[in-house]
Amino acid sequence: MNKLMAVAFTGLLLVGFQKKQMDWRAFVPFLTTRNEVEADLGVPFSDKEYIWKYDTAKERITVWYGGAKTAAIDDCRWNIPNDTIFNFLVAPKKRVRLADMNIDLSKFQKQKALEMVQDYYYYNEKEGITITSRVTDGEEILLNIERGPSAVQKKTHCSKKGKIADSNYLE
Amino acid sequence: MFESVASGGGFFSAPGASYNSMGGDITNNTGAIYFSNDPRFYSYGPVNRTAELAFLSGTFHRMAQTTIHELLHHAGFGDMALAKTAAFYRGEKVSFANTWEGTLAASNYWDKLLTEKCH
Repeated sequence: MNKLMAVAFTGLLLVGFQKKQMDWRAFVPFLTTRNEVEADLGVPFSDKEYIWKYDTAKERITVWYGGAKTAAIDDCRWNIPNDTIFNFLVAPKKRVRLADMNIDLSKFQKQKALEMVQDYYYYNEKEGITITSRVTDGEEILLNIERGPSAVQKKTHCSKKGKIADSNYLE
Repeated sequence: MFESVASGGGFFSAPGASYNSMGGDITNNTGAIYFSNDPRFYSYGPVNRTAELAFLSGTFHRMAQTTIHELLHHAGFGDMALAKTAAFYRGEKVSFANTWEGTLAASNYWDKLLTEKCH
């Protein structure tokens, strides 16, 4: 019985400490560190190096940090510290209307997702953000928000493989 | 799902199209899949059966992969989400342009993983 109560108490503590909702705008690629992320979102889980998942009550956030190996198809060698955000994906756990996210969509270019029935992409190349939405039951709901390097960061922190970077930034 | 497409919107060959795609909505039995290639074997002279069979087996193999790719879209999974899942699976970071072209690159990225790991 005591063991059961201890487990229940620990569970309550974990739920109690789980953050209710993140402010994704506060997380900036190439600036926000893992310490800062975890101070806000708590302990992550994952079995991958430098790619961590965080759960809040309302969303799951996957963060790729600078230390993760770069995909072969990426023609950049990124100048970024290992424990700094490279990009991240926020996916709500429950149905959320895009209109309720308080995002200024006038800064985005909306396009129908070519291969999807009711999905739309909102692109903001300048800030490195792509929002995916889906129209269902007459409402446009948020599927996910992805934020990666901004247009400027793609210039200043990317050495084209075989070339020298525009910036003097060194890890 | 395959049966639903076959009896619903159908499978179509659209030679000259720049990419494979899907259309319709599988939830109301109108789901379709479009192939950008021409699966017919053309012979300028007597048909060489061995060459024809080799061509068709290779072509249908690629079309079967395309079908799986497009069925995943019919199932509601988009290119960007699938690319992010592939990046997580591979344990690597990747940056796609926040444009239509970036989404096309994302499509090719996860499709390559499908080809590599599911053979």
